[in-house]
Amino acid sequence: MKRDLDVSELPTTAFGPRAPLWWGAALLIAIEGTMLVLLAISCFYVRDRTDPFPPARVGRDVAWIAALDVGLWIASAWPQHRATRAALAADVRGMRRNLIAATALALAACAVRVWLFHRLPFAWDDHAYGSVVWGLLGVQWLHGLTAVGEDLTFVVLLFLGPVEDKHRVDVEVSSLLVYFVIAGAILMWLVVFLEIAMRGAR
Amino acid sequence: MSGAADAPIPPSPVAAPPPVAAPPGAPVTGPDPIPTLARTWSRPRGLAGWLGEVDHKAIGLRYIVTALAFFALAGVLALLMRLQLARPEGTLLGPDRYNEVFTTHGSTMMFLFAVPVMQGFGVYLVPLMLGTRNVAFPRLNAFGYWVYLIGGVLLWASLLLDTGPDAGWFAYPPLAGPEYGAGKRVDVWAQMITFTELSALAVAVNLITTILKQRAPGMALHRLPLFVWAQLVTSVMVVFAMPSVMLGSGMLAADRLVGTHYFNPVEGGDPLLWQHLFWFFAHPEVYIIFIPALGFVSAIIPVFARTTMLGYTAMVLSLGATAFIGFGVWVHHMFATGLPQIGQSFFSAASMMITIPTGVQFFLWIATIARGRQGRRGRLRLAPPMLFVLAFVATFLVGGLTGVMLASVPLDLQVHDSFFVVAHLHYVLIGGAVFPLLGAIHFWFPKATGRLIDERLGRASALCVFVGFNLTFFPMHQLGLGGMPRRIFTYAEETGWGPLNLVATIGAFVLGAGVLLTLVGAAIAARRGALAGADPWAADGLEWTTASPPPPYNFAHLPTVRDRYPAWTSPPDQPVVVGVRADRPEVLVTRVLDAEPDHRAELPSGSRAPLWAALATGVMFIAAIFTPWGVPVGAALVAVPLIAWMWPRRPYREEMLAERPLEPPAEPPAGIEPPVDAEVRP
Repeated sequence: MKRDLDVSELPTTAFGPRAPLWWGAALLIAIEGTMLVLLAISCFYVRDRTDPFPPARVGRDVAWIAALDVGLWIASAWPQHRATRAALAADVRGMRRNLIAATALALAACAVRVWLFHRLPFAWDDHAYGSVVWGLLGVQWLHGLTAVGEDLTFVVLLFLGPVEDKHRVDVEVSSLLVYFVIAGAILMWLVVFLEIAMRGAR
Repeated sequence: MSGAADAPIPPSPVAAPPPVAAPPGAPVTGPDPIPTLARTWSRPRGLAGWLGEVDHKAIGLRYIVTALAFFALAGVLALLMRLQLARPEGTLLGPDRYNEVFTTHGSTMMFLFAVPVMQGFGVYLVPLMLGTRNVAFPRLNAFGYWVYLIGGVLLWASLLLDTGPDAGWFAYPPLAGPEYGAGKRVDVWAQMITFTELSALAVAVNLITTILKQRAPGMALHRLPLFVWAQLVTSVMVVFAMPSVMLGSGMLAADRLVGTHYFNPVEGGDPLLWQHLFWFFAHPEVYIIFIPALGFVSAIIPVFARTTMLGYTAMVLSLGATAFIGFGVWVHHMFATGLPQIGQSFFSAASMMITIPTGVQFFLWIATIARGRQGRRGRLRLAPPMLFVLAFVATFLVGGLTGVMLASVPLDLQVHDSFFVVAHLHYVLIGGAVFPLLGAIHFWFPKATGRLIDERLGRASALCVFVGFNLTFFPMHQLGLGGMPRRIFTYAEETGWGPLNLVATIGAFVLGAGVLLTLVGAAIAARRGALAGADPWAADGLEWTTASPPPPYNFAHLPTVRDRYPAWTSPPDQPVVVGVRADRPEVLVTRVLDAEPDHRAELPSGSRAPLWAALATGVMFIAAIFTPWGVPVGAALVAVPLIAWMWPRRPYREEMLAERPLEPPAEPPAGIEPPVDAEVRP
């Protein structure tokens, strides 16, 4: 006897890997992550061919400015995580409050990156190492600005409405992107500044 | 593994096509959902509706038609090159124009035809094969198409304005760098790359998500059609390969526009970095082009051999292995750059190893054909799709064998950048991808239009294409071994290359006539071809269980499946999915591995925001050819339509958070399971 499959009782929202949007974001991260990793490899590739290395003296203070940048990004993870928890609990106020905090920290990190660019002792057109360092920092900065733009849009949406169930998924997925940006910032620091911070100025 | 092999296979179709099949499992009790579905899924009339279209079938067809138009244009360039080389001291094209022509030919074929046409078939067919109503991100899908179109128009407009790229389709610096690549020709090429790769990535993200999350209940991964497996593998390759060329083209553009030194050895850069970045993309690109074609072949052979595919699991593993190994062979394009010997040995071995999974697939296709048990006269039915597949088997084998030869470092050094390489790559790409593509056009044209292409025209086309192709490219092996370099605009009579070049030119026109026969056949059939019915080939996939052409909502009732060949083996009372809302563009989302129902999701409706976003992206990329300020200004322009794209417009009151008590994340209620016994069949 025929027994059709009645799915009318199924929910209309799901979180995490159950949601197609989560997969879209994960694939976007795979794409941008591949690009970032290739850029980091290019950094080592060019470094191997730079003689003498380093081509310009980088002060230890620059490494600490970069560390402040990364630290602010890492700090933004906590309110972002809280925003996700609020989204899961359908707590609109919690989403607003935590997204504002996360966005403020991320904006501060982006501003520190501008400071960092000013303090670098070489420009992108001085030599190939300068090009690749500016490239790595620049691409990662663009990722950060994109994440900030997205969070800001959600903040505005959460205040203006209409807020629907699916926007909870959006907030959760935007957190995934922010975590990727944080990972990228850490990678950037490890590739460019770790050695300087450990061995002093070069 | 081949448990379904004993399933009853319907006989070959008779002369009169069968009537339009009822949707699987119909009729279903309850009110008729079709009028509501038609209202929900149809696009508004008029130009505004056309520009805001997000249906996967329309977008897929736009990809296919546009890619075929670029194929025809690039084919004309190929004929111009062949005319130029038909005899020594040719004067049809000067050296500068010849450089533009071969660069635009290669770039168009690789970036504007081969990848988009394969992805276009994926966009059109995958949702139908999965039993769903649209792709997971319909607006992203439309955005990808518009971006692709703008990139293609940019390249061809620049050729017509005599600013066409001229440094070859792989644009090696320093030739393509600021020192030697004067003007804006290479910048146009670099931005065209950005456009087309963005489009390819949009499709890949869409297809992967759709395949993993929107399958018909019961369609566990081990029941996925082989064509869908091929599209999944290809899309994963796109995700990891395309970023490399996007990064490389961005670096090249920066070297030319803002004075960076990525590829400038004087300032510590290295032109070989470009080659690494480019070939890390471009060798997988070859597989990105022909793996979908392998999917065509695996879809067509069982239908005309009237039997199930042998070695399904081995086929899937071979596709995956080809993709995986494909990422480890890029350096074989750089054997002539003076690599360390250990590097040469590794990449030589990897390049030879890739023949193993390809060989497995060859043997399985041949074995399946051999097992075919029925046709009109008790043998294989040689309809046009099958003829193109047979042409593929023979031709691709030759291309594969010359590939093994080129994987050997000493031989590669001898024939590097010669016509031998030109012959090899065309055997692989035309034999391996275009032949199955032409077969696929004949095979699925009736599904898309409801009409059949004349079989006589199809047979004539297959014959011309096969003969013309071999006449064109087989002599090039000898020309390459005889020392003729690629990318020369002419040659002296004393070289002795004239006769074979003349043969190749004659062959090119025969090949062009063959392709034209298929295109003309399709154009005629679209107007007055014989009616096809839902399933003119008595084929096996879900796409053949709905009308031809499919309605906007694809299926009146979303199907369930119980094995790999639903159209062959599903009983009349196969259950269907009920409870998906017809008054909203809603689809069923299923779990990744077993395709059990998980939740219902509403897809976005049609919108022109993707078009505006693509136009703004176009302004950004094209402005960036001339000034770096194009990037920030363009990015600001892009942000506006993107926000409009995402902004909610039609909230459903019961789903607004302020309207009802808040709930924790929902889990699917217990008891919702696929109505099939997972142990019944593979």
